[in-house]
Amino acid sequence: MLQHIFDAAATGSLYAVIALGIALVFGVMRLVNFAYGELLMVGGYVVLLTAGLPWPLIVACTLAAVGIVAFLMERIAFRPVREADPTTMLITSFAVSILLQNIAVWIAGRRPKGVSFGSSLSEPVDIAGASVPIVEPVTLGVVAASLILFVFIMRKTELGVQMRAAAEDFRMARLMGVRADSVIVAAFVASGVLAAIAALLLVATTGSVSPYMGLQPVLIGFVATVIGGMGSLIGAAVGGFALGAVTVLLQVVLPESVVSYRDAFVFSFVILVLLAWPQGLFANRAAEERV
Amino acid sequence: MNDQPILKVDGLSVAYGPVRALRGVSIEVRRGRTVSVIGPNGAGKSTLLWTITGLLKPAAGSVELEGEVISGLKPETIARRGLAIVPEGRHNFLSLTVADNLRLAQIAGRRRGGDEALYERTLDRFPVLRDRLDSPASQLSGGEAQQLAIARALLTKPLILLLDEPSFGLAPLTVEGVFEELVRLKEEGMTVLMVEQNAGKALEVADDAYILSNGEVETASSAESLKSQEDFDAAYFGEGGAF
Repeated sequence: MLQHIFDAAATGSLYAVIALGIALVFGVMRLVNFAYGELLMVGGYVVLLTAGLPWPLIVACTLAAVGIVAFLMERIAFRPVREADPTTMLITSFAVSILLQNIAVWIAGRRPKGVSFGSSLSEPVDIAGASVPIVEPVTLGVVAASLILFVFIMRKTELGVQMRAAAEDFRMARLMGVRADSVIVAAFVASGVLAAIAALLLVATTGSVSPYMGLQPVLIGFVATVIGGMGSLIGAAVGGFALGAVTVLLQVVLPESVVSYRDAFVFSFVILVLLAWPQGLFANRAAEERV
Repeated sequence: MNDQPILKVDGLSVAYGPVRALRGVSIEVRRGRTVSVIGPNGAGKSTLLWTITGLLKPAAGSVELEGEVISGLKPETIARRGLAIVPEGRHNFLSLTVADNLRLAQIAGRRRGGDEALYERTLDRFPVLRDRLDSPASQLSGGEAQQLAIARALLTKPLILLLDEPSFGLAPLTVEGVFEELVRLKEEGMTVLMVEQNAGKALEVADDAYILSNGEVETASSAESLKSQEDFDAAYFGEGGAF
């Protein structure tokens, strides 16, 4: 039982990080950046490229490289269409996504490649009588540390306050002197760093990279932000955690004959949540101002 | 030099697609004056303010702040030059605490020489806010929210304060409080441009007034003479916009 709880918590926290990266950019740009999955994929290939180095260097290279790619993505692809209508931005994100996938195919080939990064992490460890792979407590620890740092930055720093304000009411933030460019670049770079963290944890868990490895995570992240309430950062993290936990728990509790339809049950759960809370669990409170 | 208006709007035209919302609007706000722009719903009052702040781009004409053209600049750049707005509906950041709302304004104000003394003075002005610093802005009452919106604007240490329908959606007693605050600001020498449907109230505090109608300035005069115009009530209040 404890083992399943660990599985659920590890998957849930990984999903939470992924969802947070999507919610950050959505918050300030009202853009669901589907190319976010490819940031994760780039992270995976950086791990592959640097596989011979000591692990702290691999981590540093991945964080830096994906942060830079996210920065360039904003400058080259999204800034020119920022004033365009949302559909244009959405299509731009698909274009960037497909472009990056194809560059990966072109350079590294279509087939998944094995990566030894973190292979020692798959060894089991005994925690309170349950045997779980070390990667699970490591994932929990890394995600917890990242979220604490993230919350600290958002709550205590000037940039964080500006980003939260911009996420709630972008125009008003600008009217108070918050630079649109600064908060959007910051949101992209931060989402890149989150994608890199997710990539490191994902590669350590699965041991492989492929040009399409970002597709499922971006879908999960998108659904998680919808459950959480688009625009709410806490909502995205909670939504991601819930989605991951439910996915793993269904894997366990569903009878064997239907377990292959697990995702149908997962998305039924999503639909139920949205029927009960159409705006998501943490809908933007802007609508509730007292007069 | 001192005679130069703080804000000068010259021949401003704004269009939403084929619809012309403003046609050749010119207004001036001199240092220390309170100027009211009144007019019925849809006259273009809010469009005028949004264009001054840089959120809307004019089709023709210009806006100058202290003699420098600001039309065409980004809203954040204009804000940093010293233009603050209390928008209609206040637009406080509801997911942030009162303290964080004020902090955001302080970040902007510091660039313009705002300091701790300004912060303390502002909280002294609105003691209610001092008691509620740690509350989310979403929990404030309408009157408190309006105080926060004004406090936030003042903390940016503006050259000019823009107010968009400051009485909108507030209880009558609260409206009194807001206008008392405006009188106090005026006595302290603040320069104010206000857009308001509640013409009676707007003229009470204003030095100068413009009547905007169908996107054009219909009348520009001192608030005093406008108030005494006999036909004013009939022409304006008769349409029943605000009352």
